[in-house]
Parts: sequence; structure tokens; C-alpha cells
Amino acid sequence: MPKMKRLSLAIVFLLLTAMLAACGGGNGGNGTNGERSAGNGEGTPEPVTLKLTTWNPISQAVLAKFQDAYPHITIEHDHIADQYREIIRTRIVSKADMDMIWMFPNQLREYADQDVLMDMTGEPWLDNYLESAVQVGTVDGKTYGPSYNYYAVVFFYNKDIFNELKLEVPTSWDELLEVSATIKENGIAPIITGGKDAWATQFITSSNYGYYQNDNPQIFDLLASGEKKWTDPEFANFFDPLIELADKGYFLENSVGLGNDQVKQVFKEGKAAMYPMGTWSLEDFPEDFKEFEVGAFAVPLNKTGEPLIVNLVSDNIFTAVKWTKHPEEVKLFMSFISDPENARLWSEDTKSAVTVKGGTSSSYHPIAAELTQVIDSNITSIFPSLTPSMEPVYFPILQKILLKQNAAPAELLAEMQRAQEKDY
Amino acid sequence: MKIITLRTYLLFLAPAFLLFALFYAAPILSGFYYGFTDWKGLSFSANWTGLDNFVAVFNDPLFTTALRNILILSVVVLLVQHTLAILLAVVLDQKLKGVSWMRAVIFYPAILNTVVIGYVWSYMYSPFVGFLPKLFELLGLKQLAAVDWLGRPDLAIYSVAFVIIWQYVGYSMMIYMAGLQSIPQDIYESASIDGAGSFQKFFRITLPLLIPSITVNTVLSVIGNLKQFEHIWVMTQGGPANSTQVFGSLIFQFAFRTSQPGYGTAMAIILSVFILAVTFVQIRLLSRWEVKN
Repeated sequence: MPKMKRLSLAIVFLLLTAMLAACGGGNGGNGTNGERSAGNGEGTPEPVTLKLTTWNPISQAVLAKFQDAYPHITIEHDHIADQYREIIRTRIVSKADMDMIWMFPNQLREYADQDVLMDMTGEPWLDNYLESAVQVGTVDGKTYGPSYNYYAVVFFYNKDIFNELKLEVPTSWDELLEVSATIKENGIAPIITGGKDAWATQFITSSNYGYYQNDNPQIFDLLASGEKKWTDPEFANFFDPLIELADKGYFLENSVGLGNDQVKQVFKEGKAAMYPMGTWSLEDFPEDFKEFEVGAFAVPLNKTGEPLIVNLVSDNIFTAVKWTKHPEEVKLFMSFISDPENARLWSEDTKSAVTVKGGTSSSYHPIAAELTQVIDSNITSIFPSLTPSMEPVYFPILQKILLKQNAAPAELLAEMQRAQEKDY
Repeated sequence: MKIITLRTYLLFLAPAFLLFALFYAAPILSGFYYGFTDWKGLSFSANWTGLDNFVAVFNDPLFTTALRNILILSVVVLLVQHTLAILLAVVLDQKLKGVSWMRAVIFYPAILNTVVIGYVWSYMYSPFVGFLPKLFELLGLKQLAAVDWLGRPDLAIYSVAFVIIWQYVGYSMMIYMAGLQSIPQDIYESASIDGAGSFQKFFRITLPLLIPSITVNTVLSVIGNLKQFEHIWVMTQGGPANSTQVFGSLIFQFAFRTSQPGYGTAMAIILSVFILAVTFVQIRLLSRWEVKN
């Protein structure tokens, strides 16, 4: 019996130890100031693996060049294409083993307030970036990283339809309405936007941001703090463009149930002439896309005679978690990608514009030249970040407008303001 | 001697208890606590707000929408899925050629990944590019071909319900078949001798003796639909225009998208209490029907 008892106790003890060992660990360590950094120049640097988590593919060419330059550092890229915000939140809460991450601007303040991000204020390589890119990654005077890419908000358009109907690219709201009317008269849907992927429906309405910021650069900070309200007069026209287009029947009928992938497919099949989206979708129209010639023009919400403002989305803030085990290596990588030559390689490889000064390749896409001309010849404005409670209210409002089931604009703006107040 | 035996029992129970405490009890209790706070989800600290979250949930217009939708799903799926499942079980419980193959085909969707099913059906429903519109067009049903099944607020929830029924009718059918096979055949023989037809045998013998299977199946089905999340999130994300929001999608939205996990937790607590109440009532009613028959 005593032997049995000892054996029983031993088995139980082993089971408990195994469970506790399995439950422990997973934290990224406690070092925040380079206590464990490698490569200090003395002897052979210790091999380091830097984890980088993003929602879009990144430049493998730049990663390879970095790893050639610093053979002791390996970059492990984790590409999370869907549910990125939710997955990153879970990993941050659990202090998972991470180093560098991309972050959306409207998450930055929340995480900065919780002190989970690495402070990169004053780093010399920040001077290589556009001031607006650094500003996007700055909260209360501390910079947590720059946004790296910028994308223009445009209408992709079917050049073949425009050429056949002898239409010019519209540069004002009235011209857009005229072009849409002509296209509709010829039996083609002027615009397609879908509705199932609610974020994809915002680009016509959200193009108002640039006009508001052009009048008052601080306006969205004032909205977030409560000093301005969505019900104030300057926002009265916020939903008007989308309501007018929907009321005039310029959207492809019965398309609210389409997700963004399906919208792209329908556009590529020539069932609609224009598709509002950001230029990250250039990859969907590669050089070998031969169905029709694709062009892009900025969304023109301006009245005739007033300046057209090109809205730029620059939302992938390159930052790092505070508990990274390799802060010096993180800064080394950030410095490397801020070099214009490396940035141009990134731009060419990912077919995108970058916020490093002089870092955007002029030939990253067949319509890059057209886009660059649009951006350079007009006023540009970077999309602001709305506070977290806004999108779950804003996007369903846009769907209601597309379904022609919306309330009056004043009531919609009151709904936006009620959501804004939850984030004060 | 007794004390030694009890201690040994407790020591053997300890690992299971630890697992239960760490992965069930602790999250439930801490969740219950955070429902009464303004917890933002990024740290463990939160301010006590009492019943504010619960009052806000009951005053939220989306609460009514979510309640309506889970009741629609529960009733529609209950009636259609289980009626179909019982009929299929009765038909496929016979010695027919190819019956094993038919059972497998009907059961197969139940073992597929729900996310995959949701994405595939979303595509099938899509106007212009989906399989269903093209099929309707081929059949000359142009009006049906033009329907935006997931894009119309009045239709979207029923379109999702159809997919749920399609996925789980086979699962319910298998449980009913097990129930059918436990009914003694001599009861049917006696009924035949007494002159009972197929219709009478089904309603007077089969259905009453299937009540235990009906109880299990319908309770699981109702609970599953009351806490529905995956199909809605993959197929509509609660849209269009919040028309298909259910508690699962709202809780996910508040917890992970709007930094209001305290509010989301309060909603989850309300949902849990509601599910407990509905399940209790359902089991009581079905038990009485079982006893009566």
C-alpha cells in the first residue's frame, strides 16, 4: 500500500508539473532597453530572429538585401491577411513573442496610452520620411514609427468605355455626374462598389476628409476630443455625394451583397465603368490584364473651379512592441528601409508608393506615371484615423445609403456623433 | 484508512480540477466581473460601473435586432431542418439501393469547416458571378437570378438560415435514424395487422417514440442558433446595414473592434442567461410531451 501511495503521489506531481510548464512561458521577456541585444561589435554577433507582422505582403527583395547586409539577423515575416486588428490585439494583450508590427492609425492612440509600443522619437532616420508619415505615427509628441506606404483613393475606370463614349476624365463633382449620366444612358452601370465588405464602400464619402482637413488640418483631432461635432455645419455635406449617386441610380443594381473580391471580378468583366478604391488594388490589374485598359483618377468631390484634393491613405505604421528582445536590431531594420535606395526597391517590388522621400519608383505599375501626375498636380491630404467606435456605425450607414434606406443626413450625422462620444 | 483514501481521491482529481479552474471557471468568473466595468481589454485594470453596461445593452437598438435575428434563426432552422431531417431519416432508414451513399452525401456538409462553407455559399449567392444566379438564369427564372440574396436586409437572414439548414440537416438526420432504429419493429407489425396505414404509423408510432431524439436534436439546434456567430460573420458580418446582426457578431465587434470588451462581456452574460432560460423551458416542455406519450 505505501508503495502504491508513493507511486500515486509521484504520478500526480508529474502531471501537475507538466501542466504548469505547459501553461507558463509565451511572454516576450522583460528587456526594454537593449539588455539582450546582439551585435555590439565585439566578436561574432549572436544570431537574431526578428519577427515582422503585417497585413499586406512586403518586399522580399528588401528583406533579402537586409539579410545579406546583416547575416546574423533573420527576418521572420507573418502575413495576416484577414482579421489583422483582432489577432494583433490578442497577441499584444498576451504579450506574445513579437518584434515589429504594422498598426492602423486608429489603433495607435489606444496602444500608446497602454504603453505597449516602442518609442522611436528622435531617431535620425525619421528625417527620411515625409512629415505627414511621421505625424500619422505620433501621439502626444511621441513617435512610435512612420507609416510606410501611401495609396491614393481613386476611381479605377474602364478606359475602353470612356473612349467609346468620348468621355474625359472628370475633375469636378459636376463633371463626374455628367460622365455617370452618359454612361448610364448607354446601358452600362456607371459605378460599382458592393456592400458586403463594408470598409470598401467608404471611399466616395471618405474623400470628404481631404476637403475638411484642407480647411482645418486639426479638424479630426478636434472631433476626437469633442471640440468639434459631426453635427457641426462643416460636416453637413458628408453623406451628400453618396446619397446623390445612389438616388440617381448610378450604382450597379443588386450589388450590395457583393464582397470586394466579387466587385473586382464584376468590374473586370466590364459590367460597370468605374470602381472606387485605393491604389493598393493596382495588383489586381497587372500588366497582363487584357480585358480592357484600366486608368485611375482622383475622386472629385470639388465644385467646378475649386481645387481637387487627392486623398492618400497611409495607414501601415511600422512600429514595434515595447517588450521586443531585440530593440537595436529593430532600429537597424527601420533605418535600413528608410534609405531611399532600399525604399525604391520596396516600391518596385510591392508595386506601391512609399513615404520615404525620393523612395517611390516611377515605374512600379503601368499606370504609375498617370497616378504620380494626378498626385503631383493636385493638393494631397492623408486620411485621418477615426476613433474605434466610429466604423461600426459609419459603415452600416453607407450600406443603408446604397440600399436607399437611409434617414435624413442630419439624423445620420447625429448617429455618427453618438458613436464619437463613446470614445471621448 | 478513510482519510488516506479521500486524500488520494482528491489528489487524482486535482489535475482535472486545475484544468477546469484555469480554462473554464476563471475565464467565466473574470468575464462576469469585467461585464460590470469599463474594461478596455488591453490591461487588467478597469473601473467598476455597476449595471451601466447592462442598461446600455437593453437600450441599444442593435439589441432588438440581434434578438429578432436569433429567434428567426432558431424557429426557421428548428422547423425546416428537423422536419426535413425526420423525413429523410424515415426514407433512408429503409433498405434502398444506394442508401449508404445517400446518407453519406447528406451528412457530409456537417463535417466541413463552417468558414469554408460560409465563403463558398457567399460566392454561390453573389449576384452576377455566383452559381445560383447563373443557374436561375439558365432555368429562365430571371427574377430569381436578379435577387441579391445576401444584400437585401429582408432576405439576408433567411439566406443564412438556409445555409445552416443545408449544413446540419444530415447531422440531425443521423440522430433521428439512431432513434428510429431503436423502435421495436413488432409495434409496426401490430399496427399493420390492426389496419394502420403509413400515415397513421408515422404520426401514432414513429413520431411519439422519436421524442427523446427530438429533444436532444432540438435543444442542441436552438442553443447553436441562439449563440450563432460563424455563419453570420463569414457571410454578412452582420450586414447589410446591421440587418443580420446577432449577439455573437455584436459581442465580437464590441470586444475586438471598438475597444469595449466590458460592454461586449455584459452582452455575453445577458445572452448566456437567455440561452439558459430558453433551454430550461424547452426541456421542460419536451419532457412533458415525452411523459405524456
